[in-house]
Amino acid sequence: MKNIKSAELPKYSGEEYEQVAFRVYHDKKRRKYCVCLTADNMDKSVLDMLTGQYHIESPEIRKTMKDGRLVSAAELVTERDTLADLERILNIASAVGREIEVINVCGLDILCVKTGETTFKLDNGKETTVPVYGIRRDEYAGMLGFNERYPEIPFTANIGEKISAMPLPHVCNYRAVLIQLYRACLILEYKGVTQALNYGFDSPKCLGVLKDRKKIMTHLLGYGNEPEFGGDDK
Amino acid sequence: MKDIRSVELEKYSGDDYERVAFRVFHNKAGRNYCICITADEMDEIILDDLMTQYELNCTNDHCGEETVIDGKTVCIAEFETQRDTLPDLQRIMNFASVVGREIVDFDIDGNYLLCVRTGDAVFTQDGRLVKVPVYSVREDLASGMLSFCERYPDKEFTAEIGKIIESQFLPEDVNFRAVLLQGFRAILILEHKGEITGFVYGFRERKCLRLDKGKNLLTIVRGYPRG
Repeated sequence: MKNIKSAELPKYSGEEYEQVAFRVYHDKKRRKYCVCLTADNMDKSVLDMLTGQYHIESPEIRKTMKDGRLVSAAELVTERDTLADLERILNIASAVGREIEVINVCGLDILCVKTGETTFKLDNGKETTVPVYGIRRDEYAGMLGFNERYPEIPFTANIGEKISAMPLPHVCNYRAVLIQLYRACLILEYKGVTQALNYGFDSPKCLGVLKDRKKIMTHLLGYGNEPEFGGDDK
Repeated sequence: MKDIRSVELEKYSGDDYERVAFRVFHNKAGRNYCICITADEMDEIILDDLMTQYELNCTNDHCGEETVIDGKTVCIAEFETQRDTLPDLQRIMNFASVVGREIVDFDIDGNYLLCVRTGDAVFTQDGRLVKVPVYSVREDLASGMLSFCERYPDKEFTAEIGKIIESQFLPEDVNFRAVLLQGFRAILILEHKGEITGFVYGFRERKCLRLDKGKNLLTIVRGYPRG
């Protein structure tokens, strides 16, 4: 989802609505918070993941003209008007100006914000470029916003150099780099199998190759937050 | 830090201030957001950790000193954000969720972890009843995106962890300190001859999965490696 902006709906100027901040409104009658977002093209799966993570009622996507351009628009509404609801909708509102994507790794959808791109060398002398994302999956609480999270920006800037320290085989399909705090995983596919190369922010080179999907998920989502794949925790 | 409440200062009724929500105010003249809270006590370490995590400063008006409100002596502090951007508002709203909760800075070998108390775990050990506090880790120095609101499965895990601990082998002659919750893991922190060990339990697995010490223990209670 690109070119995300917030929009004022005509109804927000009515007495039932009061602006909290940053185009987030309090619907005083229904006791909910709401914000209207527009984007170039709203992907239903990304929107569903957003609404699920932030406990937002599933919205309808509408096509509308804005500044002479056809855009997608959706009004996002919280379940109630508690502090937790306000936190969640402010977290969603921080998607404005950012590029949000759902990256599927090993069959699991991971909500991410794009932080940039990186270029690195391959063993045939050529270079390849992949997108870099900061992970924002927090499906049970919606506590993560899309603001910059340290050290994503410096990590995005130097991950290409770390990867290039050992030129990688050109036969693999390199998909993306996913950052989770001080760890970055370069996601690749080889003969249809997903693998991840693990890099540390404080380490100049690759820390290891992850082939087991549970281990990949541990690195991407944090210890204990992996989905249930079966097997023992080792 | 217990018995945390938000209070409205007199100055908030002036023209310079506008209420945002939940006793968080927009200081239009200072171009930042602020909130004033009281608590039974305000330890300097925990105040510093909270201010660092949420990028807040104490104002000159109130910074943890004692005051009397409704005949009761409490500590009072007014916090303000650096600016009035959306991330500033998110951080102070996340911080505002301390109201009504018990916040601790849990010490593991000199590493302090911001936590919110979710209850107690009770289990039998060598025929004696042991009761330890259960805390959910809320350390998020990278961005202040975590709040103190309830997080699944903290409530369910707190209710069940005593039984899970009781059903497993535990070493004798140890000092049980607390249970720390991090995602779908609960870590029973115990001390034996000055050494801290964590017994790691899984919410889904309902059993002890491993023992961790030192750097590995810190990684598991934080959820991710740091630095």
